[in-house]
Amino acid sequence: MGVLHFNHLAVLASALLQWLLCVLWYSPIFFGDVWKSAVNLPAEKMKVRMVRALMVAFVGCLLVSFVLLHVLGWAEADSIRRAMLVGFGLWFGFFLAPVGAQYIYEDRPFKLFAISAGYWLVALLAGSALLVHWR
Amino acid sequence: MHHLHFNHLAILVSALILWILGALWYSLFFVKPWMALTGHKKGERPKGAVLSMIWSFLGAVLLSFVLAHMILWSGAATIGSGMVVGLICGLGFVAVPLFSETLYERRPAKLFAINACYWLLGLVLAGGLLAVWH
Repeated sequence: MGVLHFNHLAVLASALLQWLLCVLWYSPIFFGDVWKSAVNLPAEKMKVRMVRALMVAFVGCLLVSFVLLHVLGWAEADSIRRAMLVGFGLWFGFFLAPVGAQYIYEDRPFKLFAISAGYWLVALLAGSALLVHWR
Repeated sequence: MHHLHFNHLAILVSALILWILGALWYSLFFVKPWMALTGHKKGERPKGAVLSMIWSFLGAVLLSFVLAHMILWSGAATIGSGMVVGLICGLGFVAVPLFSETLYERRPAKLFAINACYWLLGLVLAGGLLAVWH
């Protein structure tokens, strides 16, 4: 478990890609409207501190990309296909299992879960592919 | 990325630990704040309790299985390094998505803290176990 040498620019690019996907995914172009109706928050509450939320989301994407890079290195993934397989495994094990159980316990709308799960799947696959391609 | 050999028993035990920790966490330690935050009433029989317990056990098996891969890939062989791998995976792949949801859906920060701390603690314990028993 040594310290890996890694490409900082690639981590930044992967985070940026995930963040842009997030912005698109939750915009009216994709699932923004479905998401809004499922969350059911009053409009004025929705707008508050959007800039801050977007910044925090970017920091989150940076963290995800950084950890993803390490896992890909550990797994010795050397092709886009394998990297995407690792990304899928991570999504399956660390998102679907824990977060899914939580949605059931908290009795939250399935639509919200599906939108969120879909986003993280796409984001992890895209990030994995980018990180393994550009080292 | 080769086919790895797994200790199935260790994965099962790790899943059991996660599951029991979850049962304790949500029914003993933090039951009051959790019920208040999610709007469950006291004495109310939760909907689909059996289904969610089965799901969460299967989820814990799945998570342990994926975590066992991470541990082997990373070469972590001591309790300490296994715990670090568990923590890193928990931070990167559980805490970040949960945190974004909390932020965007304006959900209570306390609820996030209860949920995230459970997963982080669970992954740290499971990581430590899987690193030494395989």
